[in-house]
Amino acid sequence: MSKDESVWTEASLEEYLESRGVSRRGFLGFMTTVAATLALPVSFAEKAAAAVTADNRPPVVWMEYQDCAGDSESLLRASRPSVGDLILNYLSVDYHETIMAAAGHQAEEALENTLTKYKGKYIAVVEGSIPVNKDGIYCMVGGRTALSSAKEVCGNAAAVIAVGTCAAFGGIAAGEPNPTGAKGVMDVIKGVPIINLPGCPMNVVNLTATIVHFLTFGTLPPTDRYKRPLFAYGKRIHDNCERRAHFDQGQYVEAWGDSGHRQGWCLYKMGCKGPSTFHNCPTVRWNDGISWPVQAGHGCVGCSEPGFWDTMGPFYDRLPDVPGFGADVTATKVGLGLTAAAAVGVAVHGVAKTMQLKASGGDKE
Amino acid sequence: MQKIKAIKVWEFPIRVIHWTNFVSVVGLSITGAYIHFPFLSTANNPDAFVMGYARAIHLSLGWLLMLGVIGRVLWGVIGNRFARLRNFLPFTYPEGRENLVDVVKYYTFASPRPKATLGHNAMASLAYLSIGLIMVFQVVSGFALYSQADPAGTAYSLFGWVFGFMNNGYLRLAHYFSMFIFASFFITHIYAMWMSDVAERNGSGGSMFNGYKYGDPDSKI
Repeated sequence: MSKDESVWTEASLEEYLESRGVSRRGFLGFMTTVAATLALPVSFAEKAAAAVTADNRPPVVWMEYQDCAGDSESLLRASRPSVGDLILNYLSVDYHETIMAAAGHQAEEALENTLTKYKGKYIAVVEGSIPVNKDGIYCMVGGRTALSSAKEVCGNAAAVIAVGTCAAFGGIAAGEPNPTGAKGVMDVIKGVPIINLPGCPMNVVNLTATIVHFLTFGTLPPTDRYKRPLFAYGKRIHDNCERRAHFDQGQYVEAWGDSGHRQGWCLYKMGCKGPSTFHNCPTVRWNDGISWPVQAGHGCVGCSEPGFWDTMGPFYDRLPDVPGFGADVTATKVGLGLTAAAAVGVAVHGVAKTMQLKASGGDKE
Repeated sequence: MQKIKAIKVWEFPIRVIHWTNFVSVVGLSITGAYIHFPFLSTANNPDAFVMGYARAIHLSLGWLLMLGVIGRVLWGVIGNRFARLRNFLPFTYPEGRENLVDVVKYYTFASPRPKATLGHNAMASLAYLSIGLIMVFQVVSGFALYSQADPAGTAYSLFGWVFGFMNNGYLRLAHYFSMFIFASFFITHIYAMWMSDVAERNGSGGSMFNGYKYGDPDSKI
């Protein structure tokens, strides 16, 4: 990751891991976990390990556009570096604005070198959305717009990995009214294999697994309609949730801190978006598998779905508000209003019509 | 008025489908409302499976509604002249357009009574067209949402395209909101049936039970 000396010596990955206290056994154990995350048989762990340690592995450039560096944070973590972090570290990340030692012209030069030397061979990781309004002047890095930079960097990559919901779908920056015209990478870049790892932030386990898949098989893993890898986004949070039994049973948290909440009941009524969100949070969890939002007692906010910020919100309601009716107008309010209007309407009409029929002498017929 | 006769207007399959649709829409609304807002608490019952049953009933009735919609469209092709799909597009033929004006006059108090019709009047046809399309939307969106449980499955391959048009949040919103359109339709439908029975006296009130209405057998509509 950083221009750490041990990475830049010619040490092999095994030696590098050894120097950080990770034995070969530990490394293979980790590769087995990655193979399992990818839903591959255990026998692939060795193959993947060989691919990761091979000398011809491609360099990685990590571009940040309209972002908060949250995905970089997710990568770095505050806790001890995991084997995954070390492997990503070892994959010479030639350019990463937040954490590289070089700055200014030196940094741009490093990027330029990689782009020319490894043209069509490197992996581009993109974090953050790309603004397109006013020719993209809302995000400038090194005197260039994010748009022109992304076209060059992503356009010449072997594969593009869009990390985080902003890079995948535009995310928070693309929320209504989207003043900068923020877009996800796949909406701007065409003709290059692109994979999305949405999430706010993305889970580094999925990034490692995606890169390992690419190194092992030379292709990106199979994806869903939103270009999200199926191994990580193929199942709903709700269907793998440890609180699911309480959902089916009809036991719900009604208020924060109530007895149900203390007993770990389902957070559905608190606006949990688990039923509409595809992510592997319940199985891989976060921070070295310590916990994840629902386990910690808060509903899922649906951060890895397209439409997260506008249509996956509000955080604490089941459904988005009805568009065009202003804030806090729920479907229930509008719907009950419609039904009441129908009832009042027919009642008034009925009285008037009955009077008209009487006046017209209907009874005589 | 000497030509008035009892005429079989609604054939048996039409009546069956009407009532299965009624049962499924009412059942789907009740269970759907529970799924949206689980109002029954089972706090002290360890064996409860309330949401599980609500969803099982909702999904089963979803199948019933789907069969009702398919059956109705089918009968619109092979059924009698009152059941034909053409009836749902009254603006496409002269008698329909004429009748539409007449019924609008009746509802806006410009005339006390509409001219007698045997099948659906033009306004009713448009209402049923709309509610039919909403039923189709509910079936498609419902199965699309159901299919999310297994994106590798058959249901998702059949209905997953819906998510190319509408994302998850808005699809759920529209699926839920349609329940209120059904509720409003239900109120209006009962009222219009009763009022036309009073104003026209052609037996439309009981026709969905016995199939017969009274009128001029030569009536085009």
